[in-house]
Amino acid sequence: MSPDIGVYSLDVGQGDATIIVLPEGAGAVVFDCHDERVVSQVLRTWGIATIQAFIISHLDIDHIRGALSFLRSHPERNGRVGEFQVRQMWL
Amino acid sequence: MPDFNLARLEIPDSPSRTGERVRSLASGELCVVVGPAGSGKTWEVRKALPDAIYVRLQESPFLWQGFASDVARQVAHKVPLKWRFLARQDGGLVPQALHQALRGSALVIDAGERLLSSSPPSAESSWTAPELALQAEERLAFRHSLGELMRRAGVRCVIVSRAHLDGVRGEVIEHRAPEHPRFMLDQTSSPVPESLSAPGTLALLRAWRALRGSDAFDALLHEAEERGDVTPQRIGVELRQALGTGTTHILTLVDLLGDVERSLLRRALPDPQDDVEPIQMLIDLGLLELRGDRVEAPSFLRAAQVLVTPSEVPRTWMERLAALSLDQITEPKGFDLRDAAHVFRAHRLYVALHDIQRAMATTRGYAGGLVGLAAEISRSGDHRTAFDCYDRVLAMWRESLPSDWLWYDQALTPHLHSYVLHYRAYNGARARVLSAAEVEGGYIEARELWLENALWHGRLIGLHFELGQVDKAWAVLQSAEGCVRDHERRDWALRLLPARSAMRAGAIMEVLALIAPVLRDAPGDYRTARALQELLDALQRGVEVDVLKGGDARLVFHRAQTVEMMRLSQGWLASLPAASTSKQAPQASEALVKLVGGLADEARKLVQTPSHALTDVEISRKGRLIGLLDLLNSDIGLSFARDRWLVGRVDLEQQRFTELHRAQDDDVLSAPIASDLLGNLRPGDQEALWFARVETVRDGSPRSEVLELEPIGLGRSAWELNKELRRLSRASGDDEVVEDEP
Repeated sequence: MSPDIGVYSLDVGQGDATIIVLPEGAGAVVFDCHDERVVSQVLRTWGIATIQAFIISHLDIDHIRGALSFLRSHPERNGRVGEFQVRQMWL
Repeated sequence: MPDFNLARLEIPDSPSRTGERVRSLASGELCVVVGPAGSGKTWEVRKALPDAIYVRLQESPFLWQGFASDVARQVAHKVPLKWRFLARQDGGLVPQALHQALRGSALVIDAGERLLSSSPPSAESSWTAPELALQAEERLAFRHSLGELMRRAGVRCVIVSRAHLDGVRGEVIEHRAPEHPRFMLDQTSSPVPESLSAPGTLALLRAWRALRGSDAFDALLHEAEERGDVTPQRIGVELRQALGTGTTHILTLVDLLGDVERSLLRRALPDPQDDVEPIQMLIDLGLLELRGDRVEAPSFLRAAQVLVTPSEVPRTWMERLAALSLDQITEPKGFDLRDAAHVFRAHRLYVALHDIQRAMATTRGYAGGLVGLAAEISRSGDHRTAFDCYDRVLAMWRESLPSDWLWYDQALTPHLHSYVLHYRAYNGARARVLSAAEVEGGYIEARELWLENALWHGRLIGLHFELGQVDKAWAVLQSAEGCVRDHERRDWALRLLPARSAMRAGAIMEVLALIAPVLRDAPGDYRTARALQELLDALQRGVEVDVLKGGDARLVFHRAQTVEMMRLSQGWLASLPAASTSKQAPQASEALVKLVGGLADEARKLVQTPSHALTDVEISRKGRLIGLLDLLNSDIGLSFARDRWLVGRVDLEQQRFTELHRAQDDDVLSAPIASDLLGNLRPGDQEALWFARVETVRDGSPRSEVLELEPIGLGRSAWELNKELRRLSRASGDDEVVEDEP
């Protein structure tokens, strides 16, 4: 559990994906998602299951391309627990 | 030629037991006269049977064909000219030829000890264990067949041998050497020194004295008496120098052929530059024996190292002699028995010349000769030609009629067949004319025909390791250990030879597992011990690996890395210098498991921690390991998603799903749609966007067809995405929403 905050811009090619790791194991904030598999794998490897906020800055394709499939892949609904829990969605 | 009075003390002409018994042989009876070299047994037998057909066996691999050729030449007038001798399956037809040709005659087979197996393979021998086994098998078949053949043919047969011949069904006559020395030097009337009593020594001395003069001879004899260490080899080497190059080439050529018509040999050689006719000179010196119109090279010449290798004989001589031999053929398209000897002689010359095309053309169905040629070519490194040669042998067998194969062939064929299949695959692999699957098929087929052959199993195990088929390799080893009897080369063939292949494939753990039992037992065999040491040295120098396995972990490197395994006074040390990591353990495999496991644990812990939570030293170490390891494909305890959802469109014509186009990206993902999903789709669905679930490999690429499809809806893409994002965001935060609604 680190007391610090970490900001990581992921290499996802022609697009953006940023993860902000919150202190004390409070989860992360995902800012834009061009490639869901990279974001998923980083969160999985770091053992982060809670996404306090999933923020889409604007609707250009290079910012949102992976967001839809990310949310489709990992929703928590009707007792079916996904790998990640998204608490807030900001558009 | 200087006169030299070497007197032979003839064996008394009184009837001996050997002579009496040989003379009293009944029709169809066979006996073996056994006695030491130089004891006069051949002389005794030939005196008792003066009209017998006399055959002197040659060296393998031409033993059988040489025998047949020799007999054929002497009995040609007794059998029909059209006899199919040496045609198609000559090995099978020769017994029939003998059956007809020898009816009512006596046959004396000299140098019978050549029917026994030769010495076991040594590091210096060019014969491999299977080749020696084949030769031994051929000789065993020959020994077993002789008694029955002679009985059927009604031939009185005497085999003269220096050693007892197991497997020959016939009476054994122990021949005793006369108690007094057979040769005396009449100038001194003293017995020949013991060290000069080896066969042929006196003949060599006589020739040497004739060339060098009596003074040198007396000095040599004196030395022999003083020191008793003048060997035939020493005399032979000096004699070779005295004879000169051309003359020793003639002797070598005659020895290669067994015998040859004197007139034919003279025509094949260049004209002598002076009045000395070399063939006559060699006859006068006693180094060539004249029998009728033919000359023979006495067997002691080879033992005394007077001869050179056939490859040193001028090619033009051999080519001319082969051509002259073929000119002797009376019926080029037929199977004249008398032609067989000429064809066989030409074949032997072409084999010696490595002239594969002509050797093939003169095989006359003699697959054995072609196999010998192929083996020699293979050893020279010309794998493509050797492959063609073995291929031709198989074609010859396919073209043969099984009914032509007699009992002799049936005893010989499975192993010879196996040998040809194996080495066809072996050379095909090295010449890169066969695929890995074809090589594997050849090795397996050969192994089935010769299950007790350790080398066959070993090469198949090695091939599996090279192909990365580790499970298959261990399965073959397990089955091989059940069917290969224990012998001194067993570990070398089954474990160390495959270990070299595993080493080339970078499979260190497999190498360690293969050598562990050999290391424990400390091999007594020279080649095995040497191969083991080479492997240990190579392990210590380091092995280049792309992948390193140990226990449950598996490290995949971005590029090949060197792993070193060092044997310590107690235990082993495994090191990966690129990661500055070493581990020690009592057993080699334990050390490697500790090395791999330790690196896997370290890499996993560092990767699982975001860098802002690490110290500077840890961040540096993490960077080094990430630069070394392919984390995606390594097994270090990280988890990966097994499936994913894609956003895209369906194409009913192509029956595929294609991911939504990504600007400036070329790697658009695409996957076939499962057939049960296709049935539910309609043409209008191609206009809509869809979610598609596919199973993925670790990097997220689809590895299955589309397993689930869910519509996103119709409309413009951006608006659709916006709409769905809002819908899903609500769903993510509200458990009450029914998500499966369209």
